[in-house]
Amino acid sequence: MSAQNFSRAAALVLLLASGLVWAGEPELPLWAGLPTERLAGLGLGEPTASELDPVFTAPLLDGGFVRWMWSPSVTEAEAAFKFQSVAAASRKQAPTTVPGYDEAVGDGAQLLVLRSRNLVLVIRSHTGRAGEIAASLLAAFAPEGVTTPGPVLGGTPTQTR
Amino acid sequence: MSPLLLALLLACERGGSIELGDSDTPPDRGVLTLSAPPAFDPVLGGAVTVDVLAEGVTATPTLEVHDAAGALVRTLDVADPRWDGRDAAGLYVPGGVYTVRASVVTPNGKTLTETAPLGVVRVGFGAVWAEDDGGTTAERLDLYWHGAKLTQDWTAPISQLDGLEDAEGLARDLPDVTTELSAPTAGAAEPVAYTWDSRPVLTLSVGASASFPDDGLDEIDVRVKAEGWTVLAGSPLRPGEPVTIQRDLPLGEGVGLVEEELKLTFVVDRDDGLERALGTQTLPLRFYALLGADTFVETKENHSAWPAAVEPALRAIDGAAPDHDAVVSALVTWIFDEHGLSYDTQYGASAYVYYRNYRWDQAQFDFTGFLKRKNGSVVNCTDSAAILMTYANMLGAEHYYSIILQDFTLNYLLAIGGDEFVSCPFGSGICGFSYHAVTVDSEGEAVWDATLALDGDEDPGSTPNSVLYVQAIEAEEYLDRLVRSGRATYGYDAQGTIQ
Repeated sequence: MSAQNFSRAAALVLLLASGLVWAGEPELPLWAGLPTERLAGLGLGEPTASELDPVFTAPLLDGGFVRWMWSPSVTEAEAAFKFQSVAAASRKQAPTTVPGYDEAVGDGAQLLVLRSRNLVLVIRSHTGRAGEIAASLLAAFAPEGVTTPGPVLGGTPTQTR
Repeated sequence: MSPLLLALLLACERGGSIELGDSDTPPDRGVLTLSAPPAFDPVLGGAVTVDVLAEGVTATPTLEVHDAAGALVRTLDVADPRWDGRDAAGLYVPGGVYTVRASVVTPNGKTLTETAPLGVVRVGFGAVWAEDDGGTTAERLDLYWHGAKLTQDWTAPISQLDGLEDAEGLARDLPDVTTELSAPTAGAAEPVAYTWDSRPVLTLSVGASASFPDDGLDEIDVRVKAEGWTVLAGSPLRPGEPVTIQRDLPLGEGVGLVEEELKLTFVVDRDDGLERALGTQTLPLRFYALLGADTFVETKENHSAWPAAVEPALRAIDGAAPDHDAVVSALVTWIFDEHGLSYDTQYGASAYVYYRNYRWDQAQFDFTGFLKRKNGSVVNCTDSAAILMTYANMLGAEHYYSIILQDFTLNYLLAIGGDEFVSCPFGSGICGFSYHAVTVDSEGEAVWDATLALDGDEDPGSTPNSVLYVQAIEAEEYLDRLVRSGRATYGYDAQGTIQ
């Protein structure tokens, strides 16, 4: 996917997520998107978007990959995290704590499966940067309701709302 | 035999004439004979040589080419009686029947003249289509260009030229088959997929600049020959009528890749019953001889065979017996030994597969990314199972992945890319899988595994170890050899989706 297409896909995710109904009564807004310009500097290659789901996978330039998976609600993200805790790797993972994330398994360096609100990440870093990348990504995600400079979609400037 | 009698015989045989003079003058023994082939293609086959024989004369004969209206087109050198099909200005003449005229003055002052018709044709194919006869003898199969996201168009030619001559005016062969396998390449031919036992049928149309019978050359029949192929229709050539040819033999006795350069030879019949070749045009072909159509359960455009997948696979397993087990087993060896992949010995994380909707039976495989090794060459069992299953189904071997759950310890195994047997694949003290993905046939009775090889001896739980590729191993035996302790159960046989 080209950077432009990715921008559009990211924008679509932003728009779709922004229209979601609150599930339950979360204390914090759902994550709405990952603005494209914030990918720069994270050491990620060009992401590939799933054709079926709001799931993106990007290679880590120094070895490994990051996959981030959006769910429409916290409840569904909890189910996704529970499943990914087993399925993302065939070595059994132990729970861990990563600041800013609600749930996590992995060693914190080479492998992390994490959930923050409605978002699940799988980070496999061959150079032991999983924790660092998790923190960077958390800072890069845009919460619902927060206006951020967004990519251009269809010639019209768009934002998260 | 006397020279006179010989001259008489030659003249009669060649249809020429002989001047014997009359009774009031000394016998004029001059003899002129001329012969030319019925036709030639100056671009495809080069210059033609006419035979001129003058006997009993001292003068040098003249040799000319005239068009149908009688106009002089070209004067030839009788010492080198070749015509390159060009006029005096150096331009190729149009197709048609021309007259070669030889003349010589005898010692008695008589002029002897001989003529012979000579056809100028221009032949060559400009487009080729691959046909399907519903499987009677030729079952063509879909190919999917994953980079362009489109299925190969059966109504479009697989090979074509935008002109029979190149910029220098030289005859062109049909183009080479593309080496770019993600999308059609302008100016290159496309590969074609058939079942392994098909005898492909091709339809060929002559190029736009061709000129041959019924363009005023009614007496000249240009026929087409192709070694190893039978011409079914369209020969001799007629304007607007394609030529259909069929391969004499099936593509093979098993699956594989068949590349050939088909020599298309254009011939005309001479008066003496022999053939004269006008020239040859080469048609490069590449056939994928598959087991059958794709065997994905879900009908989806991108589940057809991808050239980028099946071509390297077929090169690797060329000649594999045309049955499911042989094909998949050959793929295991290829993936395990020659893909340059290695197992993620730290975590066993899946680089190219995720499971949709938290379900084991809904794997989503980024096959496009895998072909580019976008996320690297370190994989896990889910990746290897998806890779094997995808190749197998694209080749026509119905295949599924299966998940073995959950939390079990291991006997000795050799992981893909590894160089020694281990029973703790993730390092000391970590001697089990939380799950493992393998592939199975449609009955789920036999297992293939491109991620690991097992210890094939009587005691898989201890050294020494002998390599046993997992190729059609009975499902229970596979678990016996893989699992040291814990409850391991097969489940979720599925194919998932690819992109």
